[in-house]
Amino acid sequence: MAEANPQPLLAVENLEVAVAGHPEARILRGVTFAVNRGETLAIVGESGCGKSMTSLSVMGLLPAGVEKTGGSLRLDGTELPITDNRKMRKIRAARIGMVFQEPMAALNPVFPVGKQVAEVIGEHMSLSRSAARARVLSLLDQVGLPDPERIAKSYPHRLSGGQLQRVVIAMALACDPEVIIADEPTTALDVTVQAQIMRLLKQLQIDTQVAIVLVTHNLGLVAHTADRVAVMYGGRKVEEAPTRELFLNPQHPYTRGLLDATPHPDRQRRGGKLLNEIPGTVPSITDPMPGCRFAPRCAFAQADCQAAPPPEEGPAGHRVACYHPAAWAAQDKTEAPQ
Amino acid sequence: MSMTPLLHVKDLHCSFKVSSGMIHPVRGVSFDLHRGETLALVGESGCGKTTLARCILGLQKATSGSIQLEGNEMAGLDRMQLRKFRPRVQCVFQDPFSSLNPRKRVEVLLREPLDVHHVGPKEERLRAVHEMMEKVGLPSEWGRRFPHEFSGGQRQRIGIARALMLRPDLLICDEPVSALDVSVQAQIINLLDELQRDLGVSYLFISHDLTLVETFADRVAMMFKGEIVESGPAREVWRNPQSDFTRRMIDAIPVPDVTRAAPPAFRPDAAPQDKTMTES
Ligand SMILES: Nc1ncnc2c1ncn2[C@@H]1O[C@H](COP(=O)(O)OP(=O)(O)OP(=O)(O)O)[C@@H](O)[C@H]1O
Ligand SMILES: Nc1ncnc2c1ncn2[C@@H]1O[C@H](COP(=O)(O)OP(=O)(O)OP(=O)(O)O)[C@@H](O)[C@H]1O
Ligand code: SF4
Ligand SMILES: [Mg+2]
Ligand SMILES: [Mg+2]
Repeated sequence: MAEANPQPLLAVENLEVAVAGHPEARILRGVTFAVNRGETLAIVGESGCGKSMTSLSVMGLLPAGVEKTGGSLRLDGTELPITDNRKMRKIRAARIGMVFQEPMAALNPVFPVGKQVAEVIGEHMSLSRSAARARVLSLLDQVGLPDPERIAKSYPHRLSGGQLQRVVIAMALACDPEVIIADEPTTALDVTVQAQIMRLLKQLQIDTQVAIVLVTHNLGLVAHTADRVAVMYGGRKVEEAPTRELFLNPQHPYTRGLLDATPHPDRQRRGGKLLNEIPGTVPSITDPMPGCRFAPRCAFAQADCQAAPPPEEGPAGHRVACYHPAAWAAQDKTEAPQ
Repeated sequence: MSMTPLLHVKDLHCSFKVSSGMIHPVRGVSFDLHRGETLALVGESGCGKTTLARCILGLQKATSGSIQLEGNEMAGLDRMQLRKFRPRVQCVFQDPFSSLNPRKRVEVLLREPLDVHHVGPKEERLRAVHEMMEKVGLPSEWGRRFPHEFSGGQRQRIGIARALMLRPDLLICDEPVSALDVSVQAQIINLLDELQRDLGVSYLFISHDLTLVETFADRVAMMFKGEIVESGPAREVWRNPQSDFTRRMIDAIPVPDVTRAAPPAFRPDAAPQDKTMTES
């Protein structure tokens, strides 16, 4: 696993991001993960915990108003030149493909989508116009879009949510990337198209050993497509484990809360509520907080949780940042009748 | 109790002219939605769900057919005439990025509907905004921020809060929770459920999450190529699907359970299925 391969393809180490000009207003507080060739890492976590900021950092596309304040981002051992726009453009066109969370934000409303996919291809390789056109149509076809000719000629506002999302996926695949960062790639897709996209990515992984970082809220998707899962909360990674291990043996209270809140076909309304929530609201990510950021919502918090952020611990295969991992196990035992 | 449904849609058609000819995304859709009821609309991507929603909202002209809100015909009304119905029918859009004005503070975005429809005294409007923000799980201090300072899921919640500000009778939700993590999703779904029980709001709930639909909706309507091909309580439809299309959908649900095998549709090695059902 991770250490068997001395050099992961993409390595993010202690990544720090903050509001520009306000280093104390931290958004990412030291995020570390790595992905190997041919591997799929899923990143899950609460809404607003910094998943998209992490992906955008790697792409050198952090939005105005936030900046990277520390840490390292390496592709195949070489630091990514994220401040050099020209070099990053090349890397984006040739080595890392990204599927953005909000397709409309990634597309230009005044050009037909086919032209926009062709532009990505043009950055990457020199093809004749007709060859580029053929490649666009074949990509649109591969992501399951019916009538690629019509779609290619359409302006973004004339396409449905799921059609746009597939156009953005086609753009990410256009450059034969070594790494694909897919931020919620299938949220707007029906389950059959979602399956088709995941099958396409898996096939691509078999053929090209592409490394995939899959940011998603869909735990069903995670269960069936990821090799490993990293769980984030409040700008930090709180747990990381192989997929099966994470689902069957979660250690962090937040991970367990997430698994519990998932709608499940065999689960019915319990008491008054339709679904299980994690109580409480998330404080602003930039608020300073000395201890564990989950403490205000954690049923297992104790005095020692408030002092300093819990360090990441545990065997290499299963890391967790919590002072009282799987505390419910002990609690269940004491509560159980003898 | 009146028998008139809150929303009655009858034989609705909608078509567009495109360069290559006409496309016809909504082809004779009929359904009733009662007060306090949740109807989920499920269908393949591109089958016409959003177009149908836009017709009901009056944002898109229907080619033919009838849309009645408590017996009042809305199809064919112009913008001014529709204004009267506006506060009663609200919508949460699929794409939060494009539906929020980037130059306005969130507080202002949320207050706007109250201002436009002169709801309540001015001084109280801001308080109502802050209450609603807390309800959807956003700290009220964030009201001073602009939309770009929020994450995708946070923006989605702003959209939900905005739609709820006017306490509508009918809320059309176009994938309202797909951008949210499951714990926030649970919070929002529980909130919608609570509002329905307290205020009798009805939901037309467009979603790709079949498991969520089963938990949340009273009935589900399966839309295929612009038509509703079957409907009924979700549990029954899933258990005994009548159409090939529904069966294929059910087979592709990834259940969040690592002890079960991945659906065959996910595996490159499994027999390749025929291509996606063609969209209209
Ligand atoms: N300019 C800014 N000033 C202050 N905070 C900001 C700014 N821009 C973003 N944030 C905050 O940064 C956090 C990280 O956002 P990010 O988009 O990475 O979240 P995410 O994990 O992708 O969430 P989601 O699942 O909802 O997409 C959010 O809590 C957001 O409110
Ligand atoms: N303004 C428009 N002009 C031309 N065609 C359009 C327009 N709006 C939508 N369409 C087409 O109508 C069809 C139905 O689109 P619609 O947005 O209703 O689908 P949907 O069911 O909401 O799909 P999704 O689940 O992907 O959001 C699509 O093929 C789309 O390309
Ligand atoms: S460190 Fe303490 S507060 Fe944080 S998750 Fe673990 S038990 Fe809960
Ligand atoms: Mg995001
Ligand atoms: Mg849609």
